[in-house]
Amino acid sequence: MSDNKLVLDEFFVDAVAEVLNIGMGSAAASLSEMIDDEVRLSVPGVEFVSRLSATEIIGAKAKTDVSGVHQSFQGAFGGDAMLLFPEEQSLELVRAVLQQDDMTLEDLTEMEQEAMTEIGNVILNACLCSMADMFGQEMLGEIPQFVKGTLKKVFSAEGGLEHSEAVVLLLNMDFAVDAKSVQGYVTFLMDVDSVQQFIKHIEKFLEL
Amino acid sequence: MNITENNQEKTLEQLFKPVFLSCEFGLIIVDSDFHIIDWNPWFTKYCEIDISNAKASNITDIFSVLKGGRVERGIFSAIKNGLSSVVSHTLNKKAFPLINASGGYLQQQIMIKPLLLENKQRYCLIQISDVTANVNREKQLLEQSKRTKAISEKLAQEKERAHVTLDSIADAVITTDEAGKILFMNPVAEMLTGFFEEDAQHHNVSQYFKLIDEKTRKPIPCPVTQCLDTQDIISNETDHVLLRDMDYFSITDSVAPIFDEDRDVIGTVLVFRDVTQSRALSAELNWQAMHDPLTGLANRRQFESSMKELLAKAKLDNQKHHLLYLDLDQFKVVNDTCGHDAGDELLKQVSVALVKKLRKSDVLARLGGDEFGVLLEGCDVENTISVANNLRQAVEDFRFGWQTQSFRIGVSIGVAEITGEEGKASEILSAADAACYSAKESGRNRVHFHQLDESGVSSHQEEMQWISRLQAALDNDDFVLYLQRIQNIKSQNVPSEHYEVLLRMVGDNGETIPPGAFLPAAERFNLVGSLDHWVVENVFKTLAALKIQGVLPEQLVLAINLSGASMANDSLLETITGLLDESSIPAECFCFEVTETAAISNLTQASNFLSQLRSKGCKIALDDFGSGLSSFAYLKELPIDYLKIDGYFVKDIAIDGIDKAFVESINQIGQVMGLETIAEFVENDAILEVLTNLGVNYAQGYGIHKPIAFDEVFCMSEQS
Repeated sequence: MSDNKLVLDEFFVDAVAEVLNIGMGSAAASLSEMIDDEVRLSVPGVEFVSRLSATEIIGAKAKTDVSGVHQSFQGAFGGDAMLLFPEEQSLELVRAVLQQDDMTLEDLTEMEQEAMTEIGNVILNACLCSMADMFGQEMLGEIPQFVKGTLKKVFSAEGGLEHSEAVVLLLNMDFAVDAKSVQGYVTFLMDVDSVQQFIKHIEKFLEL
Repeated sequence: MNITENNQEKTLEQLFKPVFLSCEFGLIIVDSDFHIIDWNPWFTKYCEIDISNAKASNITDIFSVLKGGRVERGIFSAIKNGLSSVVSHTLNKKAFPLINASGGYLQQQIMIKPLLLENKQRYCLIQISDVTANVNREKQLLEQSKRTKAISEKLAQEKERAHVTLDSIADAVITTDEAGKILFMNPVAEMLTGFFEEDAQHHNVSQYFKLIDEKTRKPIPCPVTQCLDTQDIISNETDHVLLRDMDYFSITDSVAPIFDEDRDVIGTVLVFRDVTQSRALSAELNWQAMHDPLTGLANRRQFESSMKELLAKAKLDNQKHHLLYLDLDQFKVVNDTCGHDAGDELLKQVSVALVKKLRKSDVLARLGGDEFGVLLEGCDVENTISVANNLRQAVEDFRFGWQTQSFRIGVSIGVAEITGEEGKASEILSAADAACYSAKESGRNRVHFHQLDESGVSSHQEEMQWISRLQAALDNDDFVLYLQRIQNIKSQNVPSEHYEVLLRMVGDNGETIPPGAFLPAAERFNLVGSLDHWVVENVFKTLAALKIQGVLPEQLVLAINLSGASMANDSLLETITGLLDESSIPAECFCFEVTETAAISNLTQASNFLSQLRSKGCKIALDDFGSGLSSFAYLKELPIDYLKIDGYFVKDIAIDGIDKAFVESINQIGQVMGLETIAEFVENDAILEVLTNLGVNYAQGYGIHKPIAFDEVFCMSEQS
């Protein structure tokens, strides 16, 4: 694969987005129950890009550090799934979820790790789940890890990435609770073989 | 696998069960149908359900609370999709019902992971950790954090308020710690000291607050140090001046210690304010209150205060003190003629002239209008009279020029003694004032001593009498001029009428009073100058009259005596030159005599004076020569024509060889120097003969010619 965006059929990309939205729906349901308030998740955009591009794209939105959750997975295709929010946004997310408006950002930091880990776990599991269902394949997902730092750090081997991925499935994600809305990113980093598998499975799903 | 490795594996497998049983966290295994396979003793301990009662049951039946919750969904995810989950206490209150020993609910962190066996059978592992302690600690930290935040906000507010308050007050404030190091300076303090707070902070206050004494201008130690030592408030209102670069500020300042609850000093607060203007104003008002603005002399108030002090002193000590009251004569004339500006200027100039005649310890004050007062401390009668006359003479000699006019004024002076027996200071002033009035009544331009009544006659009355007598005589012309011939004994053929002018006073009964009687008093009380004036004026007057009568001889030479005092200023010189210019009598007819001692006592003055007279054409004679201890060298310095040999040497030359030798030598030197010699006290023919033999030019004395009244001399000549 080249460093440029993988040029895929619009149809193809839409299919992936739809599958993921189903997953998101389920995640939203879970979260809503957890916090006893309506949570809405949506995936407006899906792209396949190189790791470098992913860093740039996310970096354009997240000027400071990012925090989020990292979950490795194996099976028919393997890689690292990450849910990332720009730092200020992540705290807003936690504040919304914990429903404690009077907490200062300093206080939130304590809770951030736990809450973020769980939220991330729910969302990423939902995505992985929906994909596994779609492909009818088995998978193994690891316990999620909380990550925080510069994009560069988070995306590098120090960040805990196990695979030398070349391609990133990049999703914009909108997370909304009540009137608040937070934008984050879900990334699936896969190696070349896994990507091939992934594409094959999608094609099969679409019966192309 | 070899035997050892095999054994190791077997051992390991065997160990897994004990590990499961002894873990200090909960472990539950369920199968793909949610049925409990096993859980470990830790879990039993807290759920209080024995595993034997739960094995093979559905986990959601045993723990119904899990139904529909995250744990259930997590198990489902693990089994169906092989996904792991984390269930935190934060977001999930519905976890396992675990109770700890003290009956409290266990806060749990649950992790759910899929287990895949080789035979593809799926199981699920549930791991439970007790995070109660963590949760509690977090809660406590949060509470503490909230409290701390509240306190620190309050502190910040109060600090802000204190800061704003200090910044707003008009005084300068500096606070220090207990070592004197600056903690805080408000903007006014920054402005007055010239330093910024951020530069001065943590440095010793004495480096940034520098004081000098208002009067001595010497550095003063920083009061903060004293405050820290004594733990007392230290204030100063009058003496401190703050330095700022090249600038000075007079300040009032106050330093107070700051105590903590245990009464230990923890710092100081220094407050100060710029009072430069008010202090300067105060000083100026003070000066104005005590001084006359026109002349700069002390004013009446200051004089009265000084009088009181002197009176108090007089009561205690043995010294004599006197008070003079001066009232200017003819001041009104100047005021009326030239206006008040002229009057003011005259007063200023007279003040200067008066001050010159006084000691530093004497107090000269302007009492009002044209009246002055003088306090002479430690001054006896003689000196007082002398000083009073000096002042009188100074005013008499003073000439005031205004535009094109020149004015002469005089002063009447009243003198009173401060004995210490006076009840009030005002009594002394009244006495002096009365004496001054008497002086004015007696004709002005004089000194009058306050006379006590008969019972308290002061010892100096007699001396006082001479002054008034002399003054009166001068006013009333109670003097008479006599002439004594100076006979030429060398050249018989030279016709000349050479006379010495002598002065006699006319007493109350018409008796003649010789100069020996009044001259000492005149000299003591500085009246010889006035006498000389009188003589000179009256000589010219008489000559003018005689000339009109036509009885004046042609070769007349009149010798007039001048005192040393007269040579001291230009007053008499002006008079003489003026009279010479006016008179038709040639200057060569006049000879002026000054004593050797008078000339030498101020050689330059005398030389100058005599030269000027000589340049007009007059002759000069040096009187009483040989009586002083001077050397002949002086003779060369003085412009003289005649040498009068002291009569003391002359009177015995007929019988005393030494005297004769003196006279001879004086005469010889005189001759060599081109001077003519005159011998005095020639009382008989024997003396005359010796003199003639010695070659002395002239002889004068009772043996030759007794003095006769001026206006009778020429009448007699005519008659004879």
